[in-house]
Amino acid sequence: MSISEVIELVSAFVLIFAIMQIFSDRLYFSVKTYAVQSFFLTLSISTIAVYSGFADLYITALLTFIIKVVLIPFLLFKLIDKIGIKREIEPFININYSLLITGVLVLFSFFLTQKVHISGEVVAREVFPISIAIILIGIFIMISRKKAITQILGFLTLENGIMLAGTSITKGMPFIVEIGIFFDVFVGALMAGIMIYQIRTSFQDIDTDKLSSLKE
Amino acid sequence: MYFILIVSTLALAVSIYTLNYLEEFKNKSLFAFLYTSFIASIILVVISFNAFTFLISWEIMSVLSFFLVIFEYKNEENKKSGFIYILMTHLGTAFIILSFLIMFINTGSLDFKDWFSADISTTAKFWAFIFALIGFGTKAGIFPLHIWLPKAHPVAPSNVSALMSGVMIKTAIYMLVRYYFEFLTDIPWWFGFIVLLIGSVSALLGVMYALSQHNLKRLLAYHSIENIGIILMGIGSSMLFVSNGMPVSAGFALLAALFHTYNHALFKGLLFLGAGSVLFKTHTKDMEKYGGLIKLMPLTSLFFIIGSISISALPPFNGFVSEWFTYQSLLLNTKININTVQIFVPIFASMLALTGAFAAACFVKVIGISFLGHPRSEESRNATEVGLFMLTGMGILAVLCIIFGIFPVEVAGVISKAIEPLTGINIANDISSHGGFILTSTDYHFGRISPLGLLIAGIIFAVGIFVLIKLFGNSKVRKYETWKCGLDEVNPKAQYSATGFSQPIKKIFAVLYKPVEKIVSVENKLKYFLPEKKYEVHLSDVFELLITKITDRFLSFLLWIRNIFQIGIIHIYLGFISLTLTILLIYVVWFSGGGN
Amino acid sequence: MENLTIGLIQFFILVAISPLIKGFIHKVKCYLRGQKCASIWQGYRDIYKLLKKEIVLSSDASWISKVAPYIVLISTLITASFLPVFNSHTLLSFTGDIIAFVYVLALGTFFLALYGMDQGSAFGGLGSSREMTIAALAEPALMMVIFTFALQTGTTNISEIFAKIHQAGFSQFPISSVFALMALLIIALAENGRMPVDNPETHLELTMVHEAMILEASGRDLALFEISSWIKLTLFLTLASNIFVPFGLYNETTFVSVILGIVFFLIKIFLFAIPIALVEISMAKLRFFRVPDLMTFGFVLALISLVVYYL
Repeated sequence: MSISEVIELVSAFVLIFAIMQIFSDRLYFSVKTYAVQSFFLTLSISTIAVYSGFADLYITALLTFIIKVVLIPFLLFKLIDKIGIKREIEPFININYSLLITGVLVLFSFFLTQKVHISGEVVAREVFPISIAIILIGIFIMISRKKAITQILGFLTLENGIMLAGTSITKGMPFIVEIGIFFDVFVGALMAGIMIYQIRTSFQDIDTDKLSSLKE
Repeated sequence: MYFILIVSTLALAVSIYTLNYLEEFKNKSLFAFLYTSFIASIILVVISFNAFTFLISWEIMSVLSFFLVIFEYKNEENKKSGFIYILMTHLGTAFIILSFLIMFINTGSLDFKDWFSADISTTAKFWAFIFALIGFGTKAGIFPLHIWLPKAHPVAPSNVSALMSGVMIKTAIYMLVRYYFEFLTDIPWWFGFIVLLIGSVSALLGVMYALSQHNLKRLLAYHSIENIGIILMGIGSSMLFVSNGMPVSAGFALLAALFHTYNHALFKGLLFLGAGSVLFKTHTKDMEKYGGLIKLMPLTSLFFIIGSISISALPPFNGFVSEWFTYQSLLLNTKININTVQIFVPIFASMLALTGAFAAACFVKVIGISFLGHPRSEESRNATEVGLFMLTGMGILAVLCIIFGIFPVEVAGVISKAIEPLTGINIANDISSHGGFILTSTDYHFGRISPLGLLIAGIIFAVGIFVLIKLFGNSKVRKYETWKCGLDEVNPKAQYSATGFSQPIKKIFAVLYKPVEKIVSVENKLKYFLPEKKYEVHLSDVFELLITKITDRFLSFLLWIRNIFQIGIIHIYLGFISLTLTILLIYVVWFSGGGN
Repeated sequence: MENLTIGLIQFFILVAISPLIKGFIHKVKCYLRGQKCASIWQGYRDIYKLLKKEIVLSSDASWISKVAPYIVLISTLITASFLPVFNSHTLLSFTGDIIAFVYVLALGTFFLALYGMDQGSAFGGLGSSREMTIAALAEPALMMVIFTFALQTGTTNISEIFAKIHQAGFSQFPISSVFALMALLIIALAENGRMPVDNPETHLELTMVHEAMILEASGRDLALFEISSWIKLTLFLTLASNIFVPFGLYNETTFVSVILGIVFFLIKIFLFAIPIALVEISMAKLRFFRVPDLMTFGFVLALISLVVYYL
């Protein structure tokens, strides 16, 4: 197996766990899935690092591991414990249809990227449609689910997709950009957590469709 | 010719069956007259060689079948179903006439012979294609034009439903095949794709509605829709090949379709006759009232089970062979280098897989509820085996099911002769090889099966297991009653019901059924007991609702117009007349050049 | 002659190790839970014990009950003889391809479900209803996976599919394979009544599917049912392991290579049994109406694997 195949394989797993996010109807399980998904992302980045030998990619991989596999899931677990809501009971679109729509999204992204030409050195061509699919799935999670925590997870999934595209298609983004993104995501997740807690205390619930009563 | 073979086979078996079944009716001579002329009219349809005779015999066939449907005319429900049937049929005929007209305008002849490879524009072809699809599709019962089928089949006498389902709706398929392979040649690829799409949707939805039924004959009627869908899938995939210039594969796919047509005539005829026998003895169509019939009517049950295994496409019976052909032709479809086809055809194939699995589930339900377990009502407790002629009729079909399943190559040889004029290639040599009992598509090396080999292997294994058990096992058998969780009361109502059996699927696909569930508390008569509860669930066919809604809208639109014009004042009516006259005069004078 | 011998050996190995696989999965689960556990040979003892016992047949049963156990076992045995285990020469590969494989197995399920309905017990009906629902929902995903491989290799003959995959090696379509593998795992769990779909270890009314159908079976009937369900599990594991780890001396027929092939196969199949044990101890049983979601998940994965192959 060549290096690009290893990367493609690993990124396929990232996609599988993104789809599994759609499948899950329990918050704990979603967070766990997110952690595993990020773990595969880490693997993908480290493979690139070994292949290209850039030192900053090692640091990126390490940071991904610390922040996305350990810190954010830990934080979200705490949050779920604190607000005491553990299940996504009624999403806007039921899980069965969500899964089918996801299938269509993946199809779409493969069709879409068929004709796109990427300039510059490409390590793994197939990762591009996969990461587009992950981004779309992330957006779809944010659209279709009600609970604020799942929406955060959707956002994080989206971000993983961007990360995958950025690091694995070519040999990584400029280091400073990556650091910036990490910081953004981490702080974003932290703030969203605090906000969810506030929503919970004022609405007794974390269904975001209740927020629409704020508009008046 | 091939279709006449199908007609005659089934007609023979059904006629033998009818000898006994006639006892059911009062008006025997009328029935005999209608019945025989019905069969004759079907043959007339198939052998007619120009559009005019075709339409006439088509009408004769429709009207006769209408009379047969409402044969037991004293029942209000029968009349209603008959009405819907005749309405839909004529709607279909209207579209057929439209399609014929297009052909007539473009070729200037009513002879089918002159229509061969008609040289007409693509637009005309498209409309001829669509109208033919709607017209014949109504007769064949494709979605969403199927609504007459589950109404008309159950109320007709069972031998007639066997003929209607087995043969009459096949005449539509026959004409479709002629249309798409003889008249409209050189078609764009998406014609075939549309047929394939409609076929797979019909197949899947047909079986899913069948699953929710507990009227035995209506369930079988829905299965007709399913099988028509499978046949259309074969035709569609064949059309795809034709438009891409792959005659061998086209022949193969058409073989799949025609083989399934024959098989469907056999097993659906058998099942309707079996249902008729059960009906004959129990006088109810409700499956919830059957049960335990396997001990009371052993041969009927055996034949029914053979039919069920065939229709569920399980080896070694005939349904499996034709469904296998269909799978193979769908796989071959992916060789066509069009991305849409390549992506969607496997999806259709998995829909076919789902259809097959649901059909199996459905027939487990039918057999399990009607033939196994305890009798659920007095009527089924008193059932006895039916007469000799009825058994012979069913027996012929059952034996044919087995023979077709085990020696498919010989049958395929016959069918390929029918296909030869359509695709110009004799594919008999391409599908059979290795000693005549292995089926393979040699052109593409896709796969092969040998039903005979399967059967022999099965027998060998059976003998092997039997010997092993005789040698090592304990062959003592003790009879004891079924475990009832420690309760000692025997109540046949504690058995699983037909409604309960399909409940998971109803719940999973609630969108299609729109189930209305309610628990009705029957009045509390005894003070210290809990109120009696009744569970009711009403299912509906979404497409029927849709069509009703559309016709409803349309009618109310007509009424609205009528309301505007019919005011009830005679002067205004006179005014309308003169207005019309004036407008017509103006039109004639100014627009069409008047009298010069 | 040589081919026939190899075919027979493959068939017997497949049948013979199936109780061992079942014992092995159980053992792994016990080990991970920290329990003491029956020996991995327990399957053989159970079969022997059941064969020696008399049958208690319900007085309401018809001939279906007498025939069904045999048909179920025969259908699994026929499929077992289609499947190349470690060598391309199978016993009956000329009689059936991979579509026939699925449908012959379905024949077994059909009669198993009829058996459940035969005694007029409410449990049996419940089991049959659920089993048919699950089997039906798993079917499209299974067909999709099969289609993916049939298209990749250009044939539906199982021996040839395996031969081509062994030639090309794993790396031909890695992403496609990963998706297909995950889909096949889900389908295998569903078809064999394993943990997230059905619990093979309990007899609890609310949850049971497979066990409910054979609740009335006893003595040698039960033995036949049990062994056919184990063979079925082994079949799926063999299918997965041969498709996804296509290493081993597949096309040679010398004595040494056959022995090596058997060793390879045993290692592979035990490796593939471990994930099943892992899934079983780490997941709770799904609510019955969540099963369709799982099946859709499998279907979507299979679909993606097909699409990836094309584009």
